[in-house]
Order: sequence, then structure tokens, then C-alpha cells
Amino acid sequence: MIDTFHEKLEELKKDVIDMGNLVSNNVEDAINSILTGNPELARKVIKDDDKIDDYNAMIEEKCMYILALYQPVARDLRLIQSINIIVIYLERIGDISVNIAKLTIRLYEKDKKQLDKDILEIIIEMSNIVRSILDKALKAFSKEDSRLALKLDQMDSSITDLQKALYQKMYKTSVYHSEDYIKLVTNISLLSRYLERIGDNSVNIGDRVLYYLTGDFRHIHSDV
Amino acid sequence: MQNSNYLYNSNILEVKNLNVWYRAFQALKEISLSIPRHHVIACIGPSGCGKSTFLRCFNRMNDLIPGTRISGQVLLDGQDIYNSGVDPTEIRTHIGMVFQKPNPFPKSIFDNVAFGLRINGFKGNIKEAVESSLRRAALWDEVKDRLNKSALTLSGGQQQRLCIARAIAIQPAVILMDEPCSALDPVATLKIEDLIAILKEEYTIVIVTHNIQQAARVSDYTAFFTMADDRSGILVEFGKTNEIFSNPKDKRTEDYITGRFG
Ligand SMILES: Nc1ncnc2c1ncn2[C@@H]1O[C@H](COP(=O)(O)OP(=O)(O)OP(=O)(O)O)[C@@H](O)[C@H]1O
Ligand SMILES: [Mg+2]
Repeated sequence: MIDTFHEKLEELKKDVIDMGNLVSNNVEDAINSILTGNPELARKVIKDDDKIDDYNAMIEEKCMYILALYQPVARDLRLIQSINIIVIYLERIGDISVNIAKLTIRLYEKDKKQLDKDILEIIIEMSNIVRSILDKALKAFSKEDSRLALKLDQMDSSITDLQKALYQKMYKTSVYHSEDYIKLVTNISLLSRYLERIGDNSVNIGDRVLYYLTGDFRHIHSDV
Repeated sequence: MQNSNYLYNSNILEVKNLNVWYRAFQALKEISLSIPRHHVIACIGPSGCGKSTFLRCFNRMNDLIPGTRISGQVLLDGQDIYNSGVDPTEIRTHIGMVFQKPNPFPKSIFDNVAFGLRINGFKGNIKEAVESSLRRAALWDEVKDRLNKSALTLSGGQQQRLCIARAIAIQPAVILMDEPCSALDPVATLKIEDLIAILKEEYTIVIVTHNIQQAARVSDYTAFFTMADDRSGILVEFGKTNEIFSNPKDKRTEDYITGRFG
């Protein structure tokens, strides 16, 4: 049987997975650009974000056409609705990557600043967790794995602890009081905030995946 | 008072362990569900799963088909319509029916609506009753100047609304509709759907439809029927329409409404 409708849904899912991969790559590049002080890589992140925006618009348009032409119901309807919202989160994560890339350019365009080793370690740890949440959220979507999606909230809670540790380190070392150092510290706290936001948006993606798979609205109400 | 408890029962119809056979063939198997008063209930399911058979149980139209056998109960306001003392024609004054193809009598528009009133010995003002039924069926403005013209001069959509006027003229409690829009164009269909929304204020409506979007649009509750391995009809899922269409509990329901059936 030829089933154009369900073929179109599969195609749409593939578009979301492709968009997710672009976003995941940009998060990785943005973080690497700041950790290695590489403004060149940062500029690539900013440029690649256009592709993510294009995907967002293209997917929204496809969802509209499917809704208009096929009036999907049940699981199919939940998929379309979830995709519509997941791409917004993905687009936001893309924007946050751009913000991180801009931090890199601000900090490293002129000269290299040396990050304290302890601080660097915490940032790396945060980045690893955040990237892992994003990738698991995307995997939960592509593999339709609700067990995996359920794990994300828990992973996200360790971000808050790391953030606290990071601030403590920064207060301790800010005895130097040099203007450069204060600038650095401000930017690092911004970076930690960006990473946290990527984590939050990724958890939200996971919640939408759960709603799609289970039909249970409780997953998209906050803090259940 | 003998029937005092039914007044507190919000379910106008209750079906309990209903089985229907056409000679040796079992068309419906162990159907149980409750139909709440002043709501629209849609019956959906693949062709041959027994939707029309189910509908015909409510006004004992299956009695007219030779070889039909029924077991179980159909309670109208708590009373089993299959009890031996019950007169099927009496049941049909409480439960009206509208069919797939509009089937007006080859009489005038007026007489089509007045007919049911006359044979039921209606004592009031027939003219007023006809006008009120035509108004409630949202047809009055289109026919008030040609009441004595033949009903067959009306369009299909108008004929269907005339049949609805005829059904409601005798003030039934329940209106059964078997694919009432399948012979109508989208505009006439929308008119009937709007009418259903208005009629449920006064009546309880059970509608069979093949158009699942129509079921989603017009009904408060949806019953999904399918065929068991021996091809007899079974009720898979009955629930609030918005839940059935956003999150059906049974995979067979989901496969059917999302078009993955067969
Ligand atoms: N008068 C009859 N005599 C014998 N078998 C019948 C009779 N009427 C219906 N059946 C059988 O009973 C089963 C249910 O028929 P029914 O007309 O109730 O199905 P349905 O769900 O309304 O189908 P459709 O969607 O095509 O109208 C079918 O297998 C049909 O062949
Ligand atoms: Mg039928």
C-alpha cells in the first residue's frame, strides 16, 4: 500500500533528527571554541546557525501542510505537535551556541587569557553533562525511547551543583582584582548560565518526546 | 415512585452484554456501554464491524430482519426495551432514526413532518408542531414558502434535514443517525454537523460515521468497534472523544484512526 501520509511523517522525523545533529555539532564547536580559545571556530558556529534557522522554518512549514491536508490524530497528531515545539527548543539551543561563540570572540580575539585549571575542569565537566543530555534527548526522539527520555531530568540536577562549585572557585580566585580577571570571571559566569540553559532546553525536548510517546500531559507540566 | 432512580441516572441508554446473531453468524459480541443523556456518541469502525447492527438494536429495527436473535439488555431510562411486554413501535416514538440516504416520503414537505405526528395520534396544533420541527432542523427559512411542494424537489442536504425534522417532530429522546452525511456535499454536511450540536441540547444522538474527522468534530464520546478473528463485531474502546483522538488506550483504535488499519 502506498501511504504518502506516513511517509511524510517519517520524512519530517528525519528532518528533526538532521536539525538535531546540526545543533549538537554547533554546541560542541561552540564549547570547543571557548575551551581552546579559537575565534575561527566560533565564527563557523555563528555562520552555521543560519542552517539551523532554515531547518526550523522548513519543519514548521511542513507541519502546517500535514495538519492542513491530513488532519492527523492520536500518536500522529502528538508527533506533529511535539515536533513543532521541539524545533523551537532546538533553535534556542542554537542561539545559545551563538552566544557562547560570541563570548569566545570577545575573550580571545585580541590575546589569549589563561583560565584557572580548576575552573576549566568544572566547565569541561558541565559541558560534558550538558552535551550528553542534549544527545540523549535527541536519541530518545529518534529511537522513540521513553526510558531514556525519563533519565534527563536527573542528569540535569548535577548542573546546579557544578555551577555552585564554579562560583565558589571564582570568588576565591578573584582576590587578584585585575580588570582583565573580572572581565574573564564575568564571561565565565555567563558561559555557565548558557550551559545551564542548553541543559534545560534539552530536558524540555525530552519531556516533549515523552508526551509524544505516552500521550500523558503530565510530562509537559513543569516539575512533576 | 417506581422509576425515581432513573431521574438521577445521567445515562439515558445502557447496553449490557449485548449479542446479535444473523442466523448462525454472530454480528455483535458482548457489547456493554452507557450513553450519557444530551450528548453525541459517535460509533466508528471498519466496514462490516456491526455499527449499523448496533444502532438498529436501539429501536428494535433488527426485529424486522428474519433470523435475527439478540441476547443481553438495552435499557432506556432503566427499562429493558427487549422485555416481552414492550411494543417495538412504542420504542420508536422514543428513539427516532435518520438514515444514510435521505428518504423523504413522496409527499409534500409539510406532510412528511406531519405524518409521524398523525399516526401517533398527535392532539395539538399540527401546523405549529411542523413549523417548530422544521425550525429546529434549521430548514424552516428555506421551505416556509413551499410547504406544499413535493419533498422530492428539495436538494439532498435539505431532504436530510427534512428527515431530521420528521424524526424530531414526534419528540423522541434519542436520535439515531446512520452515516447521515455520506450522500451530502461538504456544505450540507457542515449544516448537519452544526444542527447536531444544537440538537444535543434536547436530544441524545448516536451517530455512525465513516468519516473519523466528523466523529471528532461532532461527538462527545466515541465508540470504536472492530471485528474479532471470527468476524463478529466487538467494542474495542469507548471514551471521551478528545481522549480517543489524542491518546487512545488501545493500539487497535490508534491503528484505525491514524489510518494504519488493514
Ligand atoms: N440482514 C442481515 N443478514 C445477515 N447478515 C447481516 C445482515 N445485516 C448485516 N449483516 C452482517 O453483519 C455484519 C455487520 O453488518 P453491519 O451492517 O452492522 O456493519 P457496519 O459496521 O454498519 O458496516 P458499514 O460500515 O459497511 O455500514 C456484516 O458482516 C454484515 O454482512
Ligand atoms: Mg452500516
